[in-house]
Amino acid sequence: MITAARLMKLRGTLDERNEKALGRIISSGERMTRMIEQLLDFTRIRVGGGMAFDPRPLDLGATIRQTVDEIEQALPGAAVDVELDGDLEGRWDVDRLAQVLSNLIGNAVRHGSPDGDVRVIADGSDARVVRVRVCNAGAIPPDLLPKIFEPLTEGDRRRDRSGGLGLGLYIAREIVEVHGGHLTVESSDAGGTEFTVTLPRDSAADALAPNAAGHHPPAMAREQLRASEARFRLLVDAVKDYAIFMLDPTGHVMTWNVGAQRIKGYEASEIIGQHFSRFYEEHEIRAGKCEMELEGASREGRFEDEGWRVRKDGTRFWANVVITALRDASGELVGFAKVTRDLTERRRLEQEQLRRARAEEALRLRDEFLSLASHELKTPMTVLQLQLDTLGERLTASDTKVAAKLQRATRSSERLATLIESLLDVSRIATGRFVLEREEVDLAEIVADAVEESRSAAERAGCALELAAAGPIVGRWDALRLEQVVRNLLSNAIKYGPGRPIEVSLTLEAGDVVLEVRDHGPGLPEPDRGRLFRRFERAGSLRHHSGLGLGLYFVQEIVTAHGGSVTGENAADGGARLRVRLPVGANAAIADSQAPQPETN
Amino acid sequence: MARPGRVLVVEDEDMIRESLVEFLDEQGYDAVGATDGRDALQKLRASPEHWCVILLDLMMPIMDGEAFRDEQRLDPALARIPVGVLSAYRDVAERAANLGVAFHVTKPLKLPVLLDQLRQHCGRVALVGAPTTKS
Repeated sequence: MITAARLMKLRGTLDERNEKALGRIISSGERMTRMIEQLLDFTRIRVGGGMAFDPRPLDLGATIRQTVDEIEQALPGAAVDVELDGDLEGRWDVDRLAQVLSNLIGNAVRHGSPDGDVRVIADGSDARVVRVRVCNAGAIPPDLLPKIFEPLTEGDRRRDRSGGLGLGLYIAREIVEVHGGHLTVESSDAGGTEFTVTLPRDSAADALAPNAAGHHPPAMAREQLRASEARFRLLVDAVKDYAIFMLDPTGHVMTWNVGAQRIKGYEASEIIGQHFSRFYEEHEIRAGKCEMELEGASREGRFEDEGWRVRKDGTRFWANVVITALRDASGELVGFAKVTRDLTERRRLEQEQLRRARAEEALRLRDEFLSLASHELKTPMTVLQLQLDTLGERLTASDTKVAAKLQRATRSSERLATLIESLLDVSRIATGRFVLEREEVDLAEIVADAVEESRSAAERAGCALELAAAGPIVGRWDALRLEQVVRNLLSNAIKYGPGRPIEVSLTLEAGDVVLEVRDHGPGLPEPDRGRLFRRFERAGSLRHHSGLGLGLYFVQEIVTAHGGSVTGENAADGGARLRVRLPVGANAAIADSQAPQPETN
Repeated sequence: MARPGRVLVVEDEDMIRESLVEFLDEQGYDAVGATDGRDALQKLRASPEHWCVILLDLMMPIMDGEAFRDEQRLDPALARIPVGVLSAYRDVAERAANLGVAFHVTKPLKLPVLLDQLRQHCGRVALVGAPTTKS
């Protein structure tokens, strides 16, 4: 963090008390950063359709050493034994794997016994995969163990002493799986805990599919089989939906039908005599898949499989394959019949359904998660504000330069607190937990208060604030929420019309109360009018506006919940005019009975 | 006594508790921290005099704020010490009303609001400090 680094520099110049306060500010900031990073990762995994990664040649041994060094520096007293064996080179995403290692090793240190017996063992003796084991003497409680990789479990959050949101292991496993590997755990009182990361050396192998070099079978075997193939060809030739063909005992193609040509793209003349391995992906050929399938069919009589196969043009299709061993009367193996179906479309539909179900689940989870995360964020936020206030009280008199900086930090932290509250509100609205707390209040007073509260922000932006309110206007409303409406409308007006006056009026019109906030900015661009009150929408890109673009969305939600409406239009002489109309008196009672709300008073 | 009175801060988050205790100390209060409801009861019972306010978090391990409040109300030596609830719950007002506490403050804390409440309650320090007097 840049700010943390700058604050660190300040440290030497302060006395012990202030240094402690600064230390807490830094660690709260870092804790919030970790939480927000986890929140983003979680959103990418669950909502963004997966986590992007960038594999490059990497020496995992160096990454392990570096991670361990960082942890030993950050957690004084931590002692980690590192054993690196064999070749630890592969193609992986260095940042993502460092994140996994940092999580696993950091956890092992935090949850280990105080004498710090954490071991990291990397084993590169296997040509295809690299294994990294992270061990310590601590045991994971048996009830927590099966759920250890699940997100959002209460136990996990309590366990997360790094101050994150308890998503570290969930994210770690996702990263390892994106690399084509596995992350597993074993734990017992006697043996301690051991996390094992198994990573294929080349996570991008899946994308490669060059054809295998052709092999030519002995001429004699080919002749023998060709004789028995005549009748078989008659039967299968016309079948278009299935690739049906024969292989000789060593796996060379002996016959070819129309279906095979359609599905795989080869003409009979091109493929007969070629080894069937050219239908497979390179890494499967290397792994001995073709031999294994023929051995299986030969031993059991039949072998069935589903998986990716390669067409002549190098594209892949999802195949269902049945290989049947063919034997003559004496039981001698004369070859194999192979039937292949192209299930790509079916698989695509299945995947599509799965994706849709996952997306719906993800949305639900996101809203629940937003609520949890925003709530958790309040802890470091509280510390941050407390410390800023403490430092502020101490320093205001003595050092005006530092005091000005502190004031800026305080304003940032207040904005951050508002953003967090906004996230919580989004999730409340999305999950239907947005409830009004109505009581008898004077709207004129609420508006006047909110205008006063916004006055200093308006002055900073060079906006003169004018209020014309008839009053008192008493009704049953949620005072805090309506204050939020006025504040949001004002901050919107200040954002879009800086340096120009803003007029606020409150009037009664046909039994409704109408609140109008009028600015003298560029007005509402025509195409934006409809989108104005949607989530995360911001009108225009005239300049960079801060915030999440939720202000007017909340205005709309709050006003609608009160039985009112909100509209936006441009004034004839320029500037935007946002009008909130709320039912008062009898109408308010009607709105109440339509949507009964729990009340506090 | 130069100081306005003792304040007990019952909060499981170390950083919040320590920050708040330090802040209140510098404001002239004699602030003491407790990590949960049980720790708070022990500290109050060990020396039941001169507390002017208990600042109580609601969500805590071992003994939460609600359970603490139940115990506190049953103990005549402690029942009358005013309690202020500190919470990040949005419905803190409702929860506070159910617990019958003197006031509530939402997290993140607005310190001027908190100090205002403390000034009100800690002015009555001499009365509250006498454990056997009836209300």
